[in-house]
Amino acid sequence: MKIAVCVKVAPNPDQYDLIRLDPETKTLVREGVDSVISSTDLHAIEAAMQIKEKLGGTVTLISMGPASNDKQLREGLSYGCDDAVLVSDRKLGGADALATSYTLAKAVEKLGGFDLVLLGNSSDDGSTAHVPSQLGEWLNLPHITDVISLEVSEGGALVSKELDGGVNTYKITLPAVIGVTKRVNKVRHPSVMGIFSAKKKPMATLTAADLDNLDESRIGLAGSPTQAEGYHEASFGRECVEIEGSEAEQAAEVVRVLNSYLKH
Amino acid sequence: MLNTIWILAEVNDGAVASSYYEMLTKARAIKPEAKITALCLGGDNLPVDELKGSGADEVVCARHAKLESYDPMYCTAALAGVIAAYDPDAVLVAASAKGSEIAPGAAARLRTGLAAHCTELGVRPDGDLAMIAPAFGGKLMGEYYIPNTRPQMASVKPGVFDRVPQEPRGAAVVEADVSFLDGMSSGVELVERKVSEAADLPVDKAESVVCVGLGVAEENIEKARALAKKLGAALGYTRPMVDMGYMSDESAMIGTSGKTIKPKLYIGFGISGSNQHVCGMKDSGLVISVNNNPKAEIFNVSDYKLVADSGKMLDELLKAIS
Repeated sequence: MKIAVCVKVAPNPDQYDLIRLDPETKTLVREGVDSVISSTDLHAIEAAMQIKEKLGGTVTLISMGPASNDKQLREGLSYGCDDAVLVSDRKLGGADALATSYTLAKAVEKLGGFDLVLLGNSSDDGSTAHVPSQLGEWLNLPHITDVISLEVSEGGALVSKELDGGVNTYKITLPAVIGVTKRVNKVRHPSVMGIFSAKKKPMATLTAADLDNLDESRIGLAGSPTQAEGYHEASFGRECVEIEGSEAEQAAEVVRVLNSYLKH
Repeated sequence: MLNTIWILAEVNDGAVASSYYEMLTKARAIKPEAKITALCLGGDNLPVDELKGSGADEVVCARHAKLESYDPMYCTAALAGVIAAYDPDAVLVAASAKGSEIAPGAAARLRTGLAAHCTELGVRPDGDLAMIAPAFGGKLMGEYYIPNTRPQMASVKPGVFDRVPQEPRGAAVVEADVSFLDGMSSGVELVERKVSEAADLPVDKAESVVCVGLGVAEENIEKARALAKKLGAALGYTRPMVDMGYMSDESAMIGTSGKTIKPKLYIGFGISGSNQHVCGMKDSGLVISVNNNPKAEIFNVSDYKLVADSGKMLDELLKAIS
């Protein structure tokens, strides 16, 4: 089984407090914020590794981003993946989900021959959850998202997802594009061997010029139909009154607050 | 331009989902003179009469055997195909399980933009649609627009907009041609559906919600459930409770990736207050939060705070509330 896992390198969610808006330009300031492989994508890598362990084959990481993301891709390789491909070009910067999925599709086509493309359902930062199904559409492959369980055999995959107060299970023919949630598995830590061998694994870089039949009007910021006007800080603050005392006293005060509030 | 707005009306158990009415109310409010069309995908039994009386100007039905049970590939193709044929200025889709899956694929087919999980809509100075949505887990709000392609597409968080009854407008009913599905093969086949036991009180309809986060030890979850029962409240929880396996499904998960709730009363235990959770509960009435960390972010969006151990506080409240 030849598996591609598309991953996004994004700001570490544990450091979102450091992200701020420049008061003058209203642009994002991300100084001092580390970049990591988006957390749900790690579950996609884990899913791919479990399939490889069961059926054999290879796992290729594909990511679009600046050249400096090779560091995070190396980390990704330490989970046991075979090789990594970084799609990196100034022309690709500022891409929305549609332009990103288009570019990833071109990279998947260029590398060729995949039986399965896995991705985290959504990234930590943008969280649009658009890329998996859009990638499926560009590749003209069956696609399904929000997957909470995944069982792959040579002929196809059985996937489950929550829908309208229940769980639907679908059989999907391969090759296919599948977006997984964190519920699909528990991510194992890379082994020492994994970390050691990751250093020697092949990592290639593709530029826009390397992608076949690339329509340059569909890449990067200029090729992105969805544009961001700007950002503002979300503020939902309330004046908070502390209820102090022993736990019994606190509980009694909560009951008093509830009684007086629910009467109105 | 925003003269024609289409809203995908989701149908659950034969009835139109509340999200449709919420989007209709908002669309009417931001552009009263726009022609609003309700689009409905399915088989023979579509709730046409309900949609006709909903306040839309037009109802478009896309009926096909392949749309009877939910298949993301057929639904995506139908949505894109019908929209391409009628070419509206904007399309609103609920950011529900189905909507979140089919809207992006349809946008890809239409080569157009899509703003995800919008919590506010408006009209820009140039007359186009303004779409506001949380970014970075709700830390920031972004404003998005789609300047050069049509339609302008937005997925809208259910439960965020108010639902105000609209006067019926004598809507015309149009049957859309989806015969292009005849020869299509999706590669996706529904093999089983397990319906979850319905909660007595869905979390997004409850007047009171008791909510638990990772600060509540697994053995104390039942205490929170008992407190909810005593208060006539629903039990809600945060995303990590599902990711860690303490809760079995997302039916009562509160946050940007789950349900948006606006109960009169919200009591939270062991909730750190990540933006992703806060976005889903910030419009609650009275907010009371219990956390052993005096600096927990949740306190910034609470009316009352109790710095205490969640398990002990649950014990005391269970004793104190008769």
